[in-house]
Amino acid sequence: MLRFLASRLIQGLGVLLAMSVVVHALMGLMPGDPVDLMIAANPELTPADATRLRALHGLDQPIWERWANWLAAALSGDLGYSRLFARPVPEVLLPRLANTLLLLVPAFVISAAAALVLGVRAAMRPNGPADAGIGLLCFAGISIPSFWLALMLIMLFSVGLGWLPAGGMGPPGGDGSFAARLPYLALPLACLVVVSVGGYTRYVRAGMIEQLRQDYVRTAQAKGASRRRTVWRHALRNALVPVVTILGLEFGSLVSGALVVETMFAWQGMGKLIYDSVMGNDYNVALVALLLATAVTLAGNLLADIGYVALDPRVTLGTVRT
Amino acid sequence: MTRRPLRPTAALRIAPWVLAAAVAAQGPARAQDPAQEPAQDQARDELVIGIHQFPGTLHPGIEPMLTKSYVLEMMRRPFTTFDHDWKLVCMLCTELPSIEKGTAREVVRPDGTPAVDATFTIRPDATWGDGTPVTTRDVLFTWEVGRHPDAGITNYDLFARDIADITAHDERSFTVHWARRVCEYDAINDLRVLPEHLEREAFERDPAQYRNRTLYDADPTNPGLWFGPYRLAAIERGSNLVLERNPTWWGREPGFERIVVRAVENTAALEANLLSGDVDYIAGEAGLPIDQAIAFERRHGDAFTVLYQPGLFYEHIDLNLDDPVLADARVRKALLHAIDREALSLQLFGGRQPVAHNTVNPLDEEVYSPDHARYAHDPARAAALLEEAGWTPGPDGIRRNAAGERLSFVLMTTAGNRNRELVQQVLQSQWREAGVEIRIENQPARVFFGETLSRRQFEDMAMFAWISSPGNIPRTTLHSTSIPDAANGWSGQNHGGYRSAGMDRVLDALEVTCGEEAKPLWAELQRLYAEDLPALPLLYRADAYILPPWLQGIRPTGHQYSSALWVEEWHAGEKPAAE
Repeated sequence: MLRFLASRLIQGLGVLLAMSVVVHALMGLMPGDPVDLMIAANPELTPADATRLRALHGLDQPIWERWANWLAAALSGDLGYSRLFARPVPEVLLPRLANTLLLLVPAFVISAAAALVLGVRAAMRPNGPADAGIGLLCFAGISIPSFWLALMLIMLFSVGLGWLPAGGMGPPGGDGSFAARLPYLALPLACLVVVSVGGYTRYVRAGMIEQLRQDYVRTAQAKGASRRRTVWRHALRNALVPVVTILGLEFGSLVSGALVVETMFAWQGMGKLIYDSVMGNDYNVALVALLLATAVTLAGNLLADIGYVALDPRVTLGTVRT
Repeated sequence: MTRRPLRPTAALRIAPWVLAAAVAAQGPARAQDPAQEPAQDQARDELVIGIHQFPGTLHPGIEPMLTKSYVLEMMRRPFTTFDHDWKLVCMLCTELPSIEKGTAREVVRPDGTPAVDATFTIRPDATWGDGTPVTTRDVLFTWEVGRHPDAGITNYDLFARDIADITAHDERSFTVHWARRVCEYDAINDLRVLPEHLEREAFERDPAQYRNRTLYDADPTNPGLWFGPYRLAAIERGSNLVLERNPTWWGREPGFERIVVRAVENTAALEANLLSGDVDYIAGEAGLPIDQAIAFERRHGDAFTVLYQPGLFYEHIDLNLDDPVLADARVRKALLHAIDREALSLQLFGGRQPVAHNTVNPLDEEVYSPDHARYAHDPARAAALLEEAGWTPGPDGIRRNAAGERLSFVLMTTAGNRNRELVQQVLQSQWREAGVEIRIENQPARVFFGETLSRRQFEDMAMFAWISSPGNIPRTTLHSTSIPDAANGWSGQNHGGYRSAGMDRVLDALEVTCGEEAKPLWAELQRLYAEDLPALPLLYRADAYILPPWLQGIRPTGHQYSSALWVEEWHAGEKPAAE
């Protein structure tokens, strides 16, 4: 187990290093740097000004040199300053990360839990009325654009009924407590659950239908196991293996945020921060945020691998029993 | 097959969707209708303003952006600015310097350059929010920071080139020694004073790191940073700025105890926030696009007041004059005759955005001249001009020249800007009627402005807007020395590559000719512009301000100095408050 974890850790560090190179290079190759934008906005800037500003922002160095400098500083614990917010990167990033986790973790848990129940229920009688109803809801959730759903939720619950705030993260100047944020969390959370639960449900349903056709299910039932026990103790466990893979991959999105929903509800999360930092050439923030998302995705995959072992006794970490 | 009644559970699932659709279609059931609650209006002590973008840094001199200026103008004041009538006025100073009054004088610098010295006096009651008086120490510190090459102050040229020196006479009065003779010697709108007693330490520790260590971002609620009617009480980055009355403000008492500026980047959501009452007022300076505001007014005009203010936003199409086809003035004139800009303004923008005929806006009365050519919608004239230029209709309706080349242009603009994309489609259709093919190739704003435009990489046409201040000499957009190229570091904004000796002479003369003497030069500039058509004028953009009926005192300016500079005049009530 330890050997497996060490191996994955080393692999993960390699992936992160490669990602830092790729992200740095891609951002550096994007057309128009901050000084170009300044020149476009201020025609009085002279060539000397442009040179001075490029040097000031470190844009006069080759991309690889910028990357090496960034890496050296990052390894010594200095993640630099945000160009857009003029604050140290952790000071910009951590509050956004906390906001994103506050929104996306409950959304992830609720979606996964609901998908489990709905997917199993639908698979119990494929093509029956429950399956049709759940399928309809799933496809509606998958098909509805999140921006439209967000707008409809605002129109219904904020404008029409006046029950919930239309956006923001808490009362202006409030104490930022969870209780104060709860009403502001409701609509974006509902929006995220609706758009994500459908996909998960379809995976659970497909996995369950596949498992319920297997011989071992019939055998279990022939031996007198109840339908409930067969489904929840035997079939579901096997059906969850592909679902865990999907959930593991989705793990990264917990820190990379949900750009559309964040924008619609003025929720200050990582999605908007990453978008703004990439578009605004805020290298330090974009790099750290994207690397964080990569790291969490890798961690999600690692957890998924460990989950396989728990779910399927044939699987061991590093080797496969035959 | 049998029919079964809809079960209650299913009905419950569907009901919210039906309701949402109904609400969306019919408008809000609980739309804010302040007109129905006048008694409550009188007691309002908070105003929530909705804007579509949250400012990055709050430092007044670094990375200027419209929304930042809008917010900062409630908390600080410039020395001078243009008022609602586009007249230069003092805000932080006592009186505009004047040669007639002896507070300004023409001088000759030791190197023989004619120049001007202008003396300003800081208001005696001007005080930072922590009680420290605003003095010439702050002015000198601001100049020191501004001209330091590493400090990152954006309008470095003002400090390093335009101003030769600043000398303080006492705590309150100082003289700006302009580097050369300038007509606007009395305007120091962009000398944004910084609190020396708070900011010096961060600057002196490391000027190159000043932009990261300034208290404007490290401790923005420090009252000593602000000296306007309001000061910053709380900030939730990306979301809200909470402003409260500044007890040291020297002017009229503001009408609201507290102002919350809330950023909602999606304008549809911003509109919904207004309808739900989460936002009271959408600022025109950073609010809804004009088409959305017009649609909003149609639906909710009974509950809100919508003010439209055309301003110094010149929507036009830059033409690449290095293209031999567009270098032909007859083609340029034909292109303008072929489009119906009046109909475009009326159909797309309800006539709220007036048609532009020149680079100078008629609202800029001091410098505007009506004596220049206009190009009305005249398809016959357009056809005649194109035929005169050798472009005759081809079998598919697109004109061709003798060499068989199609009259085809690439029209670029900022992708995602709905209004411009709408205009683009109308123009494409109208030019098609005239036998001109338009291929639309849009780019994200960052690429369009940061690379394509600034490096003159657009093939034929680039549609965007210039924003200027009253009486601004368009040297950077029209002078031949302002054509961006590698040699000048791609600076300058004459992206089309317009070269006219006559225009250069006028622009050079305008730099040193002031007042009434400059008027003939301005008239000549506009005549030449209309004659040469280096760009195709389209519209003057308007801002839309959406107010509840109880909100009084907001007066849009139409220039880049926002209505927030007079925030103390805003109040809740049925009538404007007495002075």
